[in-house]
Amino acid sequence: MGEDGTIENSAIFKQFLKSKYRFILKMTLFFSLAYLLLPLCIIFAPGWMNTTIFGSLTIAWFIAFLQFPLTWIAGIIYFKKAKYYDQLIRQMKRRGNLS
Amino acid sequence: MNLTYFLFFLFVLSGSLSITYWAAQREKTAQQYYVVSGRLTGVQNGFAIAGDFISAASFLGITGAIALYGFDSFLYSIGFLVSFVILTLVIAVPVRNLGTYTLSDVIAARFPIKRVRLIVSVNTIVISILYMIPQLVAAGLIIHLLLGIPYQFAVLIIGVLMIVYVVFGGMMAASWVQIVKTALLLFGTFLIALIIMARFHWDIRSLVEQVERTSPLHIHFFQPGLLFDNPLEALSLSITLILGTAGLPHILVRFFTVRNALAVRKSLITASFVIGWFYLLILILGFGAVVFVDPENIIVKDPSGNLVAPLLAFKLGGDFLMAFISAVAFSTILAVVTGLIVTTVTTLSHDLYNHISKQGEATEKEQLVVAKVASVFVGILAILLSLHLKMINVTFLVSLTFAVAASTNFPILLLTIYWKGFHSNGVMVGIFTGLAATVILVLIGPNIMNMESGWIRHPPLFPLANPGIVTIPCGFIAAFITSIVSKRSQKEDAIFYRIQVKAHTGLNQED
Repeated sequence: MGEDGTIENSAIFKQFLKSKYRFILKMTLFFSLAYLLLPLCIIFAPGWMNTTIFGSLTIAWFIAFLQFPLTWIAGIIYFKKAKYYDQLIRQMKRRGNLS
Repeated sequence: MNLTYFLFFLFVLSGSLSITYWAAQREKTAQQYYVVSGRLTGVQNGFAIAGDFISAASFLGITGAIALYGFDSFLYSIGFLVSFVILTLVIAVPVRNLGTYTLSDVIAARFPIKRVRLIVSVNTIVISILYMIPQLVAAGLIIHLLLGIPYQFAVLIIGVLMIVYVVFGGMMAASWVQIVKTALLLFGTFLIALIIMARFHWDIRSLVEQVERTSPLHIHFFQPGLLFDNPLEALSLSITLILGTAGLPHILVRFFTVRNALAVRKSLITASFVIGWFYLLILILGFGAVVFVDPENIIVKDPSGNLVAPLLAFKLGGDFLMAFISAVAFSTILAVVTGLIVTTVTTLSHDLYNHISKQGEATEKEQLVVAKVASVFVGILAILLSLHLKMINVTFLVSLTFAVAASTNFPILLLTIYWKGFHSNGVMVGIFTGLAATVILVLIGPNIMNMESGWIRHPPLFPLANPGIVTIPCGFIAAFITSIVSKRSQKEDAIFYRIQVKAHTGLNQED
């Protein structure tokens, strides 16, 4: 616990928060960029995007379909990491006098 | 009036009324009425979230749009789906930890000032009503098409039904209607997708080839550019969609209906799987519609493309399948509008009445009465607006709603949860700016100022139909600058640290 007994000043919490922020930032940046690939490529590389790869379906469609597993994987990664954070929270709860 | 259709509608009606009756029996307290006392499971809530989210615009609108415009329409599906990543990573759990019944609770947890509660509450109501109108319009059109009842009566009947559900059933009825509707929707779309694939002997390549042959656009059907001639439009739409869901009040309050953060995460994963699967299915439906329901035919009969899905069902399975799909579409609309009215009414009763007008002293009974009376008025307002806006394009209104949500609620939620320097004035100015910017840019944009079909016959002053790429930064910048120039005290810093702890751990500190 922090010297003044509050959670916000305790070492565990500060570390927890730093770790969590870093995780959220990395994940958000990665998956947002993966998603924005689609409209950005439409603007900057329209020719390439229209290259067909499966019948009439193009690279654009491939990137579009990719968003589905990406979304699901993002959810699963977050879910698993959150379980770990839940453990830390339980620790903090035990050491402090709070609800 | 066709008996099959009528019977199916009756089935949906009686089913949802039964759910409402069952819910009414179990809801005695305000907490139950507002948020089912937090007793939905993660998976149930996931289905409810999916149900709340997949509106008529998705089911009917996107299927039709894909059939008519190909690739660009698929961008809507993708945007809607990926928005759950942002919602999950950044907003969801903190919202659940900070609030109890409404979005205003969340912001007021850090800024317990009446003005703040008021503006967030009003914004919630505006967004919810904006979202409601296209649903009622779509419902009116479907019923008019299938049962021959005049549009006005159809809207009236649905509006009255909605009011009944909300008055008697509250959040519990809304949730369960959504859960059941999601199951029906998944089943119905899966069935049609199966029929389509079976007709093509499970060969995707052959389906794609046939689509190319049949569509008047041929290879261009598969290329970007049919809906968004300016690629900046696609970018603006993409950004708006991915950030908008995190600002939709009726989705956010769903996190209060479950027990804890773990359940919230389960809900989100369930919802994203359901929604993703659904959007893949309606892609197949869109393709199927090109092949089986001639697109040129569609444009002649119904340029908005909203009725493509039922028409496809008719071509594949006759009256029976069309009736089933229409009933599913109908239940979709019921579910979403009910959820929207519950959200609106909860904020009216809990925020405006209880907190602002009665300083938090209103009794449970008073709050419930206010909520139920408010339902009637909100329902009537929605009916009146829908009666007048019969010709409006459904997808346009939904995009507008997302733009408002992304430009107002998303910035202030993000800043409230994560930025120490945020000030209550920032909330006020941020919401006001985001809302004003969106409304103004839409009014001078190509949707309204259109030489051919707009309300104002004049070339548009603003080039984009979707203003998100401009309005979202506007909301952020306004909130940011206002906060920088406002005086802050150490006490506010202390409050922020407390909020940080609560948002990220769910722990409340007692001194």
